[in-house]
This record gives sequence, C-alpha cells and structure tokens, in this order.
Amino acid sequence: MTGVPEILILRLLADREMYGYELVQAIEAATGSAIKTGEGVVYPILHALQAGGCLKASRKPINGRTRIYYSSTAAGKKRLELMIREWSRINTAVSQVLKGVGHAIAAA
Amino acid sequence: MQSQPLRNLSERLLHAGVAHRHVRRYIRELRDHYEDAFREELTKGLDRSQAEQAAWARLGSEEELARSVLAQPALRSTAARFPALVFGAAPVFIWFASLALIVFALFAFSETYEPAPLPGWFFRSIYGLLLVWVRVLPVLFGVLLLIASARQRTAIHWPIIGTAMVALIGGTATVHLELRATPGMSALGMNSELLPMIFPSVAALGKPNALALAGGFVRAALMLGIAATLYVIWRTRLGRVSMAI
Repeated sequence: MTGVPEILILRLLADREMYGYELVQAIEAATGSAIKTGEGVVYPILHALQAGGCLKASRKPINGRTRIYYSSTAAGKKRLELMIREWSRINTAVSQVLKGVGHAIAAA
Repeated sequence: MQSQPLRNLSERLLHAGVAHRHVRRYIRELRDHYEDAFREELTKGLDRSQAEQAAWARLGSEEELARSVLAQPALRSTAARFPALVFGAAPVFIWFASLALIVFALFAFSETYEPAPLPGWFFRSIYGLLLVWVRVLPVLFGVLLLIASARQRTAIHWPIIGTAMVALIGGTATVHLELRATPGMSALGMNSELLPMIFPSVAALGKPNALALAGGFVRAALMLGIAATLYVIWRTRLGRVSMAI
C-alpha cells in the first residue's frame, strides 16, 4: 500500500482544491470504499506533500469555520506523472506474474 | 467532543520528536474532521453518544494516527533531533553574529557620516543598544529557549545550558561611554571580563580582574534567574488556561 494514498491524493487534488474531510469523501467515492483506513491518516500525508512542495495550502472561512484547502502545485503534478508511470510499470509486472501463476495452476 | 484522545496523541507525537507546529495543525484538522463526521453521523439518525463514537472510530485509532505521522520524516522537528545545536550552540552563535552586525553597521556609519565627527546622540543610542544586547537579550533568549523547549517536550537542560552561556558572555561584558565636549574626542568601547581569564597571554584583552569577573557571574546568574522566573510564570498561566499546545 506504500504510495497509494499519495497517488490518490495528488490525482484528486490535480482536478480541484479540497479540504481534508472533502478529500477523504472524494477518495471513498472514487475508490468505491475499496480502500479503508482511519480518515485522520490523510492529514500527515497532506502535510508531508506540502512540505515537499507538491501541494499548497490556504485557509478559507466557510460558514464561520476556517478550512484549510489543499491544491496541487506544478511540482505535485510532475510527481503525480512519475508516480503514475511507476504504478503502471509495477502493475504490468505483477499482472504478468499473476498470469503466469494462473497458467501454471491451470496446467497442474 | 472526546478531547482526551487527541491530547494523548499530541503528547505522544511531541515526545516522539514531531515538530510542534505540525502537531498543532494536525490536532486542529483532526478536531475539525471529527466535527464534520459527528454532524454527518447525526444526520444518519444516530443519537449524540452513538454519533460521537462513530465519528471517533472513523478518525482512526490513536496508534494508527500516530504511526501515520511518524512515517513522515518531513514532519520531524530539527530542535528535537539536534537539541544541543538548536538550544545550546545556536543562541551563542546568534548572539555573537548579531553583535558583529551591530559593530559592522556602527563602523560603516561612522566611516560615511558627514559632517564628521559623530554627534553625541549617536554615541548614546549605540551605548543604549549595546547595553540591551549584553543585559536584556540573554534574558529574552532564555525565556524563548525555555518556552520552545517546553512546547517541543525536549529535555530542559539544553536550553538552560544555552541561556547560561549567553548570560555568562553578556553578564561579563561591559560597555563604556565617554562623552567629551571637544568634537571627535567622545569614545564608545566594549570589553569582556571573561576573555582575559581564558586567554591571559593576550595583552590586548587586558589583565584578568577576579572581582570584575565575580560581578559578571552575579549578573549572569541574575539574568538566568529572571529568565527562569518568566518561564515559570508562563508555565503557571498556561496550566491555568489549559496545558498542551
């Protein structure tokens, strides 16, 4: 699961800015609730991505409460491209192995 | 709102060396997230108690939340990683660097000032500034270091050492001002009672003076005492309002 939350966050924030709660709901909707973790674990990833220059944060007052909105930066979009490429490479490699194992099981 | 689990989490993260600003922001965002989740659970028809439990469960366990922060090296505090450097060496370096900057500015100003010689108000201003530097700044440094250390939950001995060093350097330093009516004869000087003791063979530093040095030690102890008192007042007031971050 290493890197999965990062790639999802960068992908969703590439489209539009969101605050934490909104982002968690967007992840849930986009993945059909297939990925289930504590909702609070998204924030350290957001903070680390921001510290790395991949995201920027801005405070906005909404309905009397101040929300921290996150949006992707140019560096974030570049990192997303790299992560997607890496993810595709691993996905292809694992699929080939699984296909091979599938044939071996069928042959046996 | 179940604030105790969040308080426990923040203590755990601070003791583990996560930067205070990241912990404070994380806890604030978790609290906001909890509020949103709680409201959503209420709209599903749960009563307050059930909604609280459901919202807290959605947030994640303390273990899960703590692990997610500790997995991010970018969120670690420099002060927690290098307390000797940040609380011990940095204050001494900053004190000397700022003093060097003042001396340089003073030199540059005196070289370019027209019409020479420098006026009396200039000498008095620099004299006042240097006095603040050697007598007040060590106290300010001390209070700030002690507060920063307490907020980051680092061991208290490093800020005490850092403050003691700056107080010792400042307390044993003396500033002299001689204002003369004759233009160009006024003089401003600064010397240390500590340096002749450390380097007795360097004649330019003057002769060691045990009595003056003892006076410097007393001043340094007073500065450290004032800084510690202000820190204790801060802790007491913070304890009354609410502990933590």
